[in-house]
Order: sequence, then C-alpha cells, then structure tokens
Amino acid sequence: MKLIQRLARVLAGSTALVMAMSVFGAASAADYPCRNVEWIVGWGAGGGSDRFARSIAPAVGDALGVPTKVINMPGASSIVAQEEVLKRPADGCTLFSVTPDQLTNEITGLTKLSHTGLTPVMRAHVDVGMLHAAKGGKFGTWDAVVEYAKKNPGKLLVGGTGAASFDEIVANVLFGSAGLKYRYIPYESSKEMHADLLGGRLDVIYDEVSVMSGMIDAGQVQPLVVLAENRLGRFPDTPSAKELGYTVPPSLWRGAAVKKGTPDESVKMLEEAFMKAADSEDYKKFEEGRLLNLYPGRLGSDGFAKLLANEHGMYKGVIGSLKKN
Amino acid sequence: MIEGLQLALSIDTFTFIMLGTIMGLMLGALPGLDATTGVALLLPVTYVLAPVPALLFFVSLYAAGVFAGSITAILFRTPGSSEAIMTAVEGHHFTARGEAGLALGVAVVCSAIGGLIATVALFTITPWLASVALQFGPSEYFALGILGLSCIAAVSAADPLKGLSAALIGLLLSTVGIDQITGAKRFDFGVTSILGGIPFVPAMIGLFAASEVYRRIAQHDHVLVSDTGAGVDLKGALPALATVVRLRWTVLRSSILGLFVGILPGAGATTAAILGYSAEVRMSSKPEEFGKGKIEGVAAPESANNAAAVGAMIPLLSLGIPGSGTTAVLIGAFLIHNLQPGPFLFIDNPDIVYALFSGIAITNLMVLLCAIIFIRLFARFVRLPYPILATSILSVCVIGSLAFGDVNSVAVMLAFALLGLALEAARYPLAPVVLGMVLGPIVETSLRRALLMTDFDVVALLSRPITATLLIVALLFVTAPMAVGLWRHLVRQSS
Repeated sequence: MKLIQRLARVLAGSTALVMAMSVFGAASAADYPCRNVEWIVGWGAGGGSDRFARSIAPAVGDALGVPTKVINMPGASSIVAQEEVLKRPADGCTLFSVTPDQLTNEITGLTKLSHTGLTPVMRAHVDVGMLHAAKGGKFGTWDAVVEYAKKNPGKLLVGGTGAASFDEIVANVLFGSAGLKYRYIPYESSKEMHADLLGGRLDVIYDEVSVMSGMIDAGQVQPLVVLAENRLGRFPDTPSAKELGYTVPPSLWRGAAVKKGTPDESVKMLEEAFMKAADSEDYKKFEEGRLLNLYPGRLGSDGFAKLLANEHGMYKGVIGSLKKN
Repeated sequence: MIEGLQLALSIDTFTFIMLGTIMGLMLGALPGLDATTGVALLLPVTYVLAPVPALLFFVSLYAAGVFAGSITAILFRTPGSSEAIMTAVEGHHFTARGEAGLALGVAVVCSAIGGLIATVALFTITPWLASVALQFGPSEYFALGILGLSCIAAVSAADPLKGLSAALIGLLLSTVGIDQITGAKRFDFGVTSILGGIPFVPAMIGLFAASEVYRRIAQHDHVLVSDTGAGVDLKGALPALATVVRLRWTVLRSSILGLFVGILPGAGATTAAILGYSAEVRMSSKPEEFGKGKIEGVAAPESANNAAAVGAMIPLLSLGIPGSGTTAVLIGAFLIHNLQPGPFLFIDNPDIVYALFSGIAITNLMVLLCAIIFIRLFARFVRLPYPILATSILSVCVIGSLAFGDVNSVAVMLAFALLGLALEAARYPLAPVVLGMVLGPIVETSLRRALLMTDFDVVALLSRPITATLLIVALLFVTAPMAVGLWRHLVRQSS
C-alpha cells in the first residue's frame, strides 16, 4: 500500500510539475529563439560531465523557457561530440560540455579543432584536486613523500588518468615547482588506479575530491596536499599547495559552451539561464553531494573565456616541456 | 542478516526486482542498448525510491541484461550485449541444427547457476576476494591476458595456423586508437570515430550477425531452421536440465573463473566469458568439436559472465572500487541515497548489504523465470520466412551501431561484416579475432604500464608470484600439446 501511495504522490507531483513547466514555457518560449535546446555531452552516461549536465539541464530549461535535453555522444575524449556541435548551425540551440580536455586534446594534436571555435557560456564549478596516498602505506604526510623523493630521485610512482592529459599537467606543475623527480604512470580509468594505490603498487595518485571523498572518509586513503590556494574546510589538516610554497596547478572544472558565431543576445540569455539554474535547489544539492562547492568556481561567459585563454597558454607550456623530457 | 533478507523479500523490493529483470531482458536483447546505459539513464528516476528497492532494481537490470544478450546470440548469432559474444560463436550452431531449445535452456540455467555461485561467494568470502582483487596489478593483468591468448591454438584446433592468423588480426585491430601510455594517435587515418579504439559492439555485430545474414542471402536460404519440425519450445527445458547436471564440473569451474575475473576492476564480464570459453576448450579432451556447436561452449561462457557480473559487486561494496563499467555507474545509485559504497557500508548499514546480497540471489532466480517466458516470445521469430528475418536483423544491426555513436559506427559494422564473410569463406575461425581484440589492450597496456612501474626491470616484473604462476600455466598450455605430440611421434617410431 505504501508503495502505491508513494507512486501516486510521485505521479501527482510530476504531473503538476509538467503542467507548471508547460504554462511557464508557453509564457516565455517566444523569448529564446529555439524550440528546444540540445546539450551534447562528449562522455558516456554516468560520468562526471554527464552527471553535471543532467543535474543542471532541467533548471536551465526552466529558466530559458524551452526544454533542454542532454544527449551523450561519447568517443575520442569528446572530440566526436565537438565535431558534431561545430557541424550544427551557430544558433544557440546546441550546447556543448567543456572540460580541460578540450584544451589538452588541441595541444597534444588529437584534434585540429580549437577551443577558440567555441563561445563559453558558463563555468559551473571547480572539482578540487588532491594528491593521495594509501592509508597505512609508505606515506602518511606530504613531508614523507618529499623526503623519499629527494633520497630516491625518479623512483616516486605517481598515478593519474590519461597520458599527456590534464592529470599529467597537474603532476608536472606541482612536482616541478617542488623540485622533485617522479615517474608518472598513466591509467585509462580511475578504478584500476585506485586498486593499484590500495594494493601498494603506486606511491601517490592525483584525483579529484568528488571521486575520493568516500575513500578518504572510509579511512582507505590519506589526502596529502590540496592543489589550491587555501585549505578546504572539509579536510582542515591537509596543507594547500600555496602554503607549501608551490605553484598552484590548474583545477578541473566543468562548464558549457556554444558554437562561435552564436548571436550575442542568445549567449547572454543562455548565460543568465545558467546562472539562475546554478542557484536552483536541485543543482545546489548535486554540488553539495559531490563536494563541488568547496571552492568558488562560477564564472560567466567573459570570465570563462579569459580562463580558457590563460589555461591554454599554461597547458601548452607544460605539455611542451613533457615532450622534451 | 535475517533483517536484510526480510527487506529483500518485501513486496516493494520484489516488485522492483521484477521490473528490473524485465527491463534488463529487453535492453540486453537489443544490440547497442546495454545495462550500463540503462542504469545511467534511469538513475534520476530512483530518487523517490527507498535505497534497497532502487539498488536491487539496478542490480537485477544488470544481471538480466548480461543474460539476455545470449537469447539473440543463440537464435540469430546477434549478440545483444558484448558479454554474449562467445555464446554467439557456439550457440547459433544449435539453432541451425534445430536444437535452439537445448542451447537456450542450458544458457538460462547456467547463467542462473553462475550468478548463484557468485552470490554464495558474496555472502561468505567477500573480504577475502576483495583482498585478492587488490593483489592484481599491471603485471598480473598482463599474465592473465597471455594465459587467455595461450588458448588460441586450442580454440582453433582444426587449423591452429589459421586460428593464430585470426588472432593476429584481432590483436592488430586492438591497437587502433589513442595509445594509453603515451597519448599518441595510432592507425586512426584521421577518422575521429575510431580515435578511441574500434567501437567494440558495432564490430562484433558486424562480424557475427551481419556477416551471417549476408552469407545466408548468398546461399539463398529461405528459412533459418532447415528442420522446422524441431523448432524451439519448452520441451528443450528438460533435456537442458539433464545436460547441465552432466556438465556440472564445467559450470562449477567456469563460474569460479568468472567470479575471479569479475572481481578485478580491470576486466569485466565480457573478458570472463571469453576466458571461461577458452579455458573450457583447453580443458576439453575433444577441443576440435568446439566452434561447431558443442554444448560446453555455451555453458562455460554463460556461467562465467553471470558469475563475473555478480563478482563485480565485491570490490564495489567492500572497497568502493567498481569491478566493471556498470558497477561504476551504480555508485551513483548509492550516492543518491547518501550511501557510500566501501568498507563503512558493512559497518554502518549491514542490513542494506545483506538485503542486497539476498536480492541478488532472488534476481538470479527471477532471471530464470522471466527468461523462459522471454525465450518463448523470441522463439516465434525463428519460424518467420528468412527474408523477413534477414531484413529485421540487418536493421537491428544498423540501429544498434548508430546507438553506439555516429554514422561511422555503421561503417565499422559493415566493414566487419565483410571481414567476417571473408574469414569464414576461407575457413578461418572468428573466435580468435574476438580473443585478440578483447585481450590485446589488456596485454599491451598492462605490460607497458608494468614496465614503467618497475623501471623496465623484467625480472622484478616476472618474479611476482601471481604473474609467474599464470605465465607458467600459459607456457604449459602452449607446450604440453606439442610435447605430447612429439612423445606420441617418438613412441610410434620406436615401435
């Protein structure tokens, strides 16, 4: 019986919601020049970018007054999706998920497409990165890592996902400014990397807080350094890269963009819709649950564009130096 | 524990297990749609449910999906999911002989038994299995891959040289795409769609399903089953049970093998099915009978893949590390309900853990029940005139490839259909191609990562106990038949 009641409640709730949405939609549909918006995510269902898009898209649709639908088009580090977006007209009816991968794909030559072919709409959040060691393993603190790496240059094994990737750039910036020699071990997926860390085959790994918080809370993993300016309230005992006197490496972020050439008014409306959506209850709950709100990350269209240009230059320098080694 | 069982048996939960099973069967039977996508897309829907029904809904969807692929694999040589690939190799011969009922029956029963054996392991030795999973690093994965490849000669006993060539084709194809260790592009010819590697599912439905349709069209086949009298019905169920009893050791060892492969984060149910099949051929006294419709070749991969699907829950629940792609998505279902899979789950929510375990056991029985109904449904298609079937199968092949990416995936599917036609026309076996494509990346990337970690110290790499043991077994697999042959030759000469 309980189940039926619950189902009935859900049904009633969703009907009301749909009705509310259609009334609202009819009122403002004339404003945004698309019948619906398609958001193309270059990664499979269930990944970080997918979950981000699906958690904010309904609220974006509400704010725009037209339905916003998420479509997964995985393949080749989201290049397949980027090509699809650029094939479509620049009318603001197609959104694209942007992560630092767009920059690394371009710099390493995986694609000839440039981030300058896109007009950024909004950066939604920063997923703070940390270096971690296995709890009860060789290293309990960052100092121990530094000591070991100095005594054994080039022996420290550092895991990350992807080769010539964002993770490798982060490792290079941090260890470079700390003056430590290390060996980067690339992984295709983080699950194997986590198993190698817990199994004692890796010394240290780079991964984001949203992925690692469960393993930290469970006492399997020890965070060593927060790769940001300040410490995180959630992990007050973990020093930040800045206070240790290192260059702060770039952070992983997620955002949305449209094809370049989209009319300014449309970009403006999208930006406003995203900003409004980012304040919605559902999206805030998502950020909170995944610890994506530990660091201020929201940027509008202009700020995001500047960030992309800056980080492009920075990544390019680092990847150039990786190739020389 | 009792509380957990009660939780799993409540009407709420039971309804959702049933729903999950039915949806899993539908998703699994259609190529291009798989359980991982199903779980990911339905995740938001489960906000409103209690945690146990929500999680069991997904678990049953996953388990049913892994099995359902084999129905279409047996009937039309169209693997509905990648886990059913070996079942397509062996099982479709039964349909052609008019014995589809037997193959389907054995597949269902073995799937259920494989899943149940893994569930028993889940209840009893989860902590130990989790620690085993952590022992597996790059060098161990490399050795496991080599062990699988060492079975190639056996899998193609009729003509080992042709088998080896087919395996090399598979290995070569597996090198396409971004190099995992350096990030360099390999053999992509400027086509973005294959930059991430040749899309596996389109390749497989091309190689098996589409090529079979073209071959039959070339032969002017008007019916799928030549002997219409011996179609598919439930009369196959009883002989199937008897067959499974006869094959008890095959089922047992394949399930255990599948369970162990399933707990490894770096290998999934597809690899389990392939290794289960290869090991069975290797252990058989008549390896030359495989590939022509030997029932062991259906029982082994079906036991192994379902055991692996359940086994993938072990590292997820005890370590917080998913054992497969689907379980990686399943983490989302835990997080929605503020549950964190990992060691704390056993301490904080033991009732939920045991409810999950009991639910998984029920799911496997449910798959058995629902599958019988499903098979009856599908079996009607077998008697349709072949031209209608051929058009339908090809349409499903195209749509399934499209679901996996873009138009280029359809081109990949068609290219593999041609490859399959050419290979079979020249009497090259297809199974080794699959072995090469699945095991190639495991062997290559793991070896290079292991060398990177040991600073190219080969001795340190090979002297790890599990690595060394697996490699020695692989060596014996390759050399033993040769040694026996040589011995017989010498004996014959001296007498």
